[in-house]
This record gives sequence, structure tokens and C-alpha cells, in this order.
Amino acid sequence: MDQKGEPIEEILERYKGQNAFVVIEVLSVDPKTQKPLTGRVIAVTPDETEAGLAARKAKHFLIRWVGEVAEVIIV
Amino acid sequence: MPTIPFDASRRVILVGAIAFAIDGRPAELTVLVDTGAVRTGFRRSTLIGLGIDVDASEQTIRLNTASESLTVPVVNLPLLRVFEVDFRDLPVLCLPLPPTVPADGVLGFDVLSRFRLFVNYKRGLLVAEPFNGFLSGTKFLWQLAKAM
Repeated sequence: MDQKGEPIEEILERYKGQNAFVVIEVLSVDPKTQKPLTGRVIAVTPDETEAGLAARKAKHFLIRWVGEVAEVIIV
Repeated sequence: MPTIPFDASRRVILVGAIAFAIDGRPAELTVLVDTGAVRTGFRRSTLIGLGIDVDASEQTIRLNTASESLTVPVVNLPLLRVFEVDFRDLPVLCLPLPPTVPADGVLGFDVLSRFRLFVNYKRGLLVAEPFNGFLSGTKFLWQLAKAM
């Protein structure tokens, strides 16, 4: 993998359905919108604490759940 | 002032936000705009990732939701940027959101009450303008007209 990493959408697609948190270090952002474009995977885990601890290693991160998504939310 | 598109087909308002650790590391977040929530809160993974020790928090709060009552830690978030406005040292809740909830956290009244808000559910547009005097009100009306 090069310095710029992979498109984040592709990473999430690859892990889709695994019922885990994917921790991604963001390596580049869109210069106009500042939205994350590319990154690299730091960890894949179903455990929230593990995901958070892994994210501490990244300079810029995002954590996404790749699995079943609730349709209805009651908070 | 931002006019933020959202996917109305998901039947919730999910928007982007950025939280910063005390050392300045940013985290890209997806947050739920929840006008029914009193307080803003985030997932445990997000807060831990930002270097916050949620288990060491000395402050807790009894949280009554529509479905349950529970005690959750309150921690200080160094910086939250939402709708282009910075909130520093914001007390936030550590929320036990189920993994299947497609959000890293919830924006509640404490944050949302700092804005004029307009939602066009049909078009999937949210207009958010901070209360910054008369001019901001005029800008809000202009953005609102465009979002109608």
C-alpha cells in the first residue's frame, strides 16, 4: 500500500457484513470538502474498547461499524 | 453557514462532525441530530480513540431514555466541530449505543440549542446557523429560502 492508502469506501466495502468496527487511519482528505478520501486499516474488531485503543495510534481516524444496521432508532 | 444534505431515506438525520483529542488528533464522526436528546454523547470507542479514559470519569449522570434508565459517565471533550462551529471542553456522555446504530454519537439540546435549525425532510436538507447577532438571522433566512 502506498502512502496515500486506499479509498475509504473500498475499505468499508471489503469488510462489509463482518459485524465489526473497522478502525481506519485517514491519510488524505478532499481538499474542497475536507471529507476523508483514503486511509489504511488499523484494526477490525467487534469490541468497542479495542477499537478505541487501536484508534489512539492514528493521527487522524474514523471508526465504522461494518455489519447489520438498525432501521429504526429509539434513543 | 452550512446547508447540510442528509439521506432522508434512512429516516434519521445523520451529519458529519469532527472531534479533536487533547493533542489535536481529529476523528471523523457521523452523528445523529436528535432533537429529543437533552445531552450530546458519543460511543465509547470514539471517546477512547480520542485519548479519553471513560472508566476513570468521576462524574456520572442518570440517563432516562424512551426505553430505559441507566447511569453513564460524563467526560470532557477537548473540541467538537459541528456545523462549522467549535465547542471547546464540552461535557459529553459516554453512550452505550448498539453497534447497529449507524452513528458515532448523538447531538442533543446542549449543542443544537446554539443554532437556528431548519429541516427539509423531503429534500434531505438541514440548515444550521449559530446565534451570532442580527446578520446571522438574515443569512439564515436566505439559506432557508434556498432550502425550501
